[in-house]
Amino acid sequence: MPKDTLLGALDLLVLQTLARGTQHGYGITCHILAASGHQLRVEEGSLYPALRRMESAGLIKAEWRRSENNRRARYYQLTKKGAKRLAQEMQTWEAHTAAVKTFLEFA
Amino acid sequence: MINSIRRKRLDEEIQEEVEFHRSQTMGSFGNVTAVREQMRDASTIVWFEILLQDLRYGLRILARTPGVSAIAVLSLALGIGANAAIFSLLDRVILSILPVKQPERLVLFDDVEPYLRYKEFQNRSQAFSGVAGTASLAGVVFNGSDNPENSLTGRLVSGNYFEVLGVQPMMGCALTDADDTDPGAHPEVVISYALCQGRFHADPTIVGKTIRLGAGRLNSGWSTGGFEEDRPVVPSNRNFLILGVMPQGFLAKQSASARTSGRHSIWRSISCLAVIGCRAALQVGSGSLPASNPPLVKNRLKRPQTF
Repeated sequence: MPKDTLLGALDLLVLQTLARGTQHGYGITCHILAASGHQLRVEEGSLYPALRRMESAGLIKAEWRRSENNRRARYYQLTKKGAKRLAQEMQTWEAHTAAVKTFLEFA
Repeated sequence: MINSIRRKRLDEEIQEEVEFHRSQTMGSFGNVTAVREQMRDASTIVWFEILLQDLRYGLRILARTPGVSAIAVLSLALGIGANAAIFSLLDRVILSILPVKQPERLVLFDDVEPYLRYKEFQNRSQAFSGVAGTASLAGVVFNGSDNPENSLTGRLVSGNYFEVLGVQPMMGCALTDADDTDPGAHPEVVISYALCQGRFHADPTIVGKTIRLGAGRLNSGWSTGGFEEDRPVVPSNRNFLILGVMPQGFLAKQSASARTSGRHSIWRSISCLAVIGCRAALQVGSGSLPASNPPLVKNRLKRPQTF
């Protein structure tokens, strides 16, 4: 089990969000909040550095476009490499949560 | 890396992205400066940024104390320069080797022998992969003039000389055994790179042209070995065909310490005359010379510093 699985949860959330289509940073926080039933609030201070990091790693790519209210916004899009990583992260996450669940039931 | 160089543009982009987010949330955002710095760090190669900062810092410190900096630079320059000078000296004196194919396998017999005896030795010798003969010429005059400017250093060489040394001409071809058959029948020369550059202005069509040479004589010491001294080594004012040009650095008066004298050189076939010292290994070969023809000079075998 990788040590940084919990840390990687943010990446998983972002990648999964972008798998549905391109989105800007604010849109990503909104989607994660809404889709988690207002349970997961992603901090800007975590999200934006994470987006930059994933962009450097080639998991996502960014371009400037007009937003719905006609302002310039930076839209992020999943790359092929990112899609592959998403599949991996999902497996890792499921294995991890299953392990925790097993543990809790035993105890 | 690119991001490190276009830092201003990166900062503007980050600023704009953060501003967009704030506009969507009525200005609510965490620690804007901290987030922007983290974003920048994630987009750049941090060690490279730090390296640039260190460089800038170093330059500032140097600029603040120009006197000390100048002295430091000067001492470094002197140190490096002195080392380089000493090395190039050592390189010339100790490390440089003759510009031939296998200088470590070259030996010099500096006995004086008539050409015919050299030929016989060459035919009988089995100890060497090749035996070439050569004699140095003095006072070869170029263009028939008495002007000392037109005097050249030259060598009479046996036809296999260049083959034995394993050197190829830069242009044209070298003398071969075929150019060394009948006395006087081969008015042909190979010239040095320096001669080609200097006197012929690097003429690319030099091969096949002729050069008028005359008045050469064997260097004293070479001519006392029992061959006929009265025959001219180079007939006066004869045209010689230029067969080839040797590469830079290959000189008729060659020496391991790369003396600069004799930079304008010619080589010509020796078959027009007698010459040469090559005899030491007569006893090494399978046969020996007839008793009526004993060695003229005591053999000396030594490492060549020149050829």
